[in-house]
Amino acid sequence: MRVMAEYESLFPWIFSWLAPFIGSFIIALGLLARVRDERFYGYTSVFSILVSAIIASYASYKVLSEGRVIYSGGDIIWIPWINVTLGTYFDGLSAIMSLIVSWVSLLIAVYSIKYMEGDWGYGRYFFFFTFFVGSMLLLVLADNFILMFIGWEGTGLCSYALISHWYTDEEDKWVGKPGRYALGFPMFFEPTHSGVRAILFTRVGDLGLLLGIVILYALTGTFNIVELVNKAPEWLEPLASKGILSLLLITLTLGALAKSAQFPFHEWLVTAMTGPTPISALIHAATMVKAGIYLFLRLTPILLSGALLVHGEVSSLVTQELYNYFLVVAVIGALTAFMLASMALVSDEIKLILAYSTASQIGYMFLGAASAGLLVHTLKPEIIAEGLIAGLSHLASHAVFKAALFLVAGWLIHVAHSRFIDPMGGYAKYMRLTALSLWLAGLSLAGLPPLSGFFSKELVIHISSHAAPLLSGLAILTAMLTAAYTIRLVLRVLHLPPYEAGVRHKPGEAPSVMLTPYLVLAIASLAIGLSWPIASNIYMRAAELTLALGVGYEASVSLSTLTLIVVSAITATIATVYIVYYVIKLNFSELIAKNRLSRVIYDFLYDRWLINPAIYAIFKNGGLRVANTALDIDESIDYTYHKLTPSIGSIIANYIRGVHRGRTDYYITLYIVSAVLIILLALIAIR
Amino acid sequence: MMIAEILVYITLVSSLIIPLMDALGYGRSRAVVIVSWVGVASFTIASIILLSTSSVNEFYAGLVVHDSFTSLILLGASIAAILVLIAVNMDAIVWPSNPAFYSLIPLILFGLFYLAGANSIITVIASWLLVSVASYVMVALPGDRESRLAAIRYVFIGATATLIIALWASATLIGAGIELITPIKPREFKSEAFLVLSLALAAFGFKLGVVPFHWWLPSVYGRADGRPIAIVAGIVKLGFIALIVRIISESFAGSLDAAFIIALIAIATMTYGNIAALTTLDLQRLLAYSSIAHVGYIISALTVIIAEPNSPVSKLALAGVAIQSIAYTLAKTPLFTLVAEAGRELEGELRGLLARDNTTAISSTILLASLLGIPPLIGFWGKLFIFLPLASYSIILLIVALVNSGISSVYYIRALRNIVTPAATQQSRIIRDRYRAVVVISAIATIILGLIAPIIIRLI
Repeated sequence: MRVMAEYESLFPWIFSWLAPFIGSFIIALGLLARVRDERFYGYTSVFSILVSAIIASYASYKVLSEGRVIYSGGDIIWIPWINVTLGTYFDGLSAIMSLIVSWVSLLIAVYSIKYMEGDWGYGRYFFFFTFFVGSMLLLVLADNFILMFIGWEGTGLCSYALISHWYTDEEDKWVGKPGRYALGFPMFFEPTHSGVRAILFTRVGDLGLLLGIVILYALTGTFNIVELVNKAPEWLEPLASKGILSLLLITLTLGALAKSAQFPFHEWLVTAMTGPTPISALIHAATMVKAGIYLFLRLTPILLSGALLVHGEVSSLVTQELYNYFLVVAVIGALTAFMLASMALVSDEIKLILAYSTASQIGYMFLGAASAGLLVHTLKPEIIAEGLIAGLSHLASHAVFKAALFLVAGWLIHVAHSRFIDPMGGYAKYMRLTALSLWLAGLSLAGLPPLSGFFSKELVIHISSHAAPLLSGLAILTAMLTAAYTIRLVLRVLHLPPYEAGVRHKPGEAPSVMLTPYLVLAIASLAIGLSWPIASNIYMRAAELTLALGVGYEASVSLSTLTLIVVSAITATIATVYIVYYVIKLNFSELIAKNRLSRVIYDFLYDRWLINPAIYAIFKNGGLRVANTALDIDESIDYTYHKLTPSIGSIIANYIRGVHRGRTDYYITLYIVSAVLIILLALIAIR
Repeated sequence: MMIAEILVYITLVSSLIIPLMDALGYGRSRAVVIVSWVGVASFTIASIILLSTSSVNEFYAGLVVHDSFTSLILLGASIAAILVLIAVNMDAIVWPSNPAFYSLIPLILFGLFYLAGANSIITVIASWLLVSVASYVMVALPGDRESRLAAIRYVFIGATATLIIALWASATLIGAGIELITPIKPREFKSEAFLVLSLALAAFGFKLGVVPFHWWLPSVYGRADGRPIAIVAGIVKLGFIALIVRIISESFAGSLDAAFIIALIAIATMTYGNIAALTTLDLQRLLAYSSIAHVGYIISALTVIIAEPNSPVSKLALAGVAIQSIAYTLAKTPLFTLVAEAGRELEGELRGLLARDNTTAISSTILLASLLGIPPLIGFWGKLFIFLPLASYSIILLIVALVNSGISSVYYIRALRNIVTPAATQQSRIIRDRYRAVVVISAIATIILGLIAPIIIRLI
């Protein structure tokens, strides 16, 4: 559909993303002025994010209730020569996304006030935290790729700074088991190392994104996302007819895949857990890692509705190229979901389990949205809406329950003084509300009805079963693995005694300022599930109001055979895990120690399918090898100049001069021989 | 042109008077030096007169012809002779051969007039013999063992080369079938023409030190006393350069085959000279090998002159040869005399010369820099005007020449460095004012000529 833009005034909408930036600026001034009161930083952050949340809520209310898109500042030119505007764009997708980002951020900011109390980097933490929220909202609400990219890079920068927050690298801030190696590469990471990894891994994708943006600009002459919709056939056709459409789109999506920690970029997210736990909850679970899937959800309707507008012979080419592209993304999504879930099965670090789960669940979101693309040949706008809703609703559900899980994890780590789950156990009787939160959020992650996770995951599996039954099967298998590792975690932490003997700590309920946020989030995941008819209605409305879509889809879940299979599988898995851990009390450590096959499988999964060593072997060692080769070449050149050439020159020079020893008879002979030779050579040459 | 002719005869007379003066008992007096000066001065005036006339000057019914190119060469030779006379002054009086040195300088110049302007086989042979014999004798004059040995080598190989000259003359005549005074003309028969070319290269190339006819050169230039060598390298060589340019360019105009053979020889010559000079720490030997390299550059210009006769690039190449020859003479003559005075060891007597005699040191570094081809010295323009036209003949030849010029920087800069770097132990000789003056005058001339080189071009 063609989008007609009517611009609203810049204010107050721009504050939806500008307020946190202003907040971070004030915090920076406080840091410069050496303000010692921690409350200054925490409250400034919370207040500025609250402003954003209120404006985002108001905007979302207007969008979803009045059914109109808010486009403010689209006529305010920021960079004239490339026509970049200061536009804030609230459509169905960005409204829902800004709601999630602002409110989850607000809750985590409140939690952080207590969690980070007394930390030596308190002010710095809130500076980057607030700056991150601003960047994330800018990324979501920008009407053009340039602003979006600024937000995109802002989130990456803050992510780097917050992963490396404890940059003194004490061992208790590491991730991975100290001293563990796989194929000779360390599987434990210090905060600073993890920070660099995060920025390097995502940089690869960012380059692809930047390249894609530039190519799109070269083809369409605009960075504006709204204009891109209207021009979709103009750039889809030439690219498809040259056979490079899918390649360009994959390049563009590299940024999204890296940001959202999809295979093979997922490694950065796993080790990003060296950051403070609220950061893991906010950046590495609820928001930033969703930037990638958000971009993908933003692009999918543009691509698919554009494809519907292409007619003639090129139409089938466009369809085929898009199908190829979405197939690649769907396979990556399903594969990431499965791989990371399998890793979570054996992990013994609570945040690591949640990190694996995050990448795995984002894999679901990619699978859901890409499935709509795989059905491009049906030419039905409703299918696009279904894919969008599947991705978006799982994104929302996940943001809520995963933030809750991480915040709970933060408290548990605090209680156990360890990031490993072995010293944890039997906490249920000491912290009932925390236990309730963990159960609710965990079951939502496991996908059990009536929690929100069940409905959103159901939508993903449903659409993928139509688009790619094989991938759908993998998704169901992943759902079972998810249920298994989640229930294992919940049982071991809450109900089983600690594995580690002689644990002496006094568990108790978290302070209310920390407890409230995760309890609210956990209850929200139940509430959203219980009120699914309302929630699905909102998603349908959002789809209708999403750029380039304009149609909705009834996202209610009907009781189909597939649903029954999925629910049965999940329930059976939960029951099995319960029996294995609670009834039989199977000793896995013993099993792994005695059985060689079990040990091989365990090591393979624990060492993350050996992907990290493979990446290091190829890129780090390969890079080193290239560097060393370059050094060798350089030294050879140096050697050639300073040693070899002078030596050869010296040898030849001495040899030549050796001829001229003063023997006149030799000279005469040489002269005559030379003359005869030259004459003969000249004659031969002429003949 | 009567005046020029008379002045050249005055040069001959001054040369002949000196032995008579010796017979009359004035051989050890200052008078012989003055008479020698008179001969050199009159020859210098003659060459200036020749250069100042824009037309081509014919003598002896065309047997000798002087154009602006050869006139410039004659002027360069006169200046070199002046420089040698300033430096040597009365020094040669004590030589056992006295007063031959003072007599031979005007005689060589006289021979050079015919050699550089030779336009027929008979004049080539006659002037060749005159100049050659005089230069053989010149090398032996100081009387020391090395000089005498060098002279013997020079004579023997020179005699062989003279035989080749006879062969060249015969081959030239067989083709033409006419008399000795037949003007040199382009040949019609290919194989015969190339026999002529090979013989010409073997004979005239011998005098210049063209590879592979250069065998004698390092042992003569590198070992004998530097003062006679300054004459042989700085004066005699110029005459032969003029001669070879004339013979080859007129005999083989338009022949790409001939140009190709000359290109190969030029590459071999410049490369051989530069590589042989690379590691030597003996300045006189260095100058000897670099003389070979410079001849390589000069004859490389011949490729353009014969491949594209009468074209603008060919004229530029000819100008390049003239300027390079003058740059070469202006640097080699004073440096050879300096070596005779100050010593030849770059790690010995010459090391740290700057600290002891900064005027001589700076002047000699300027001369070395000119040989290397550093702008704006005259040597730069010489190389530039030779290398530029090479591009129109062969990029490969140009690249080889440039690379060779690069290689030469190694030994020139090392020599330069040794002159300016302070020595651990001082083992210097005192350099007399006359020798210093010659180096300084040449250095100043090198700079001035470098600055006005683009104007000199128009003279040619």
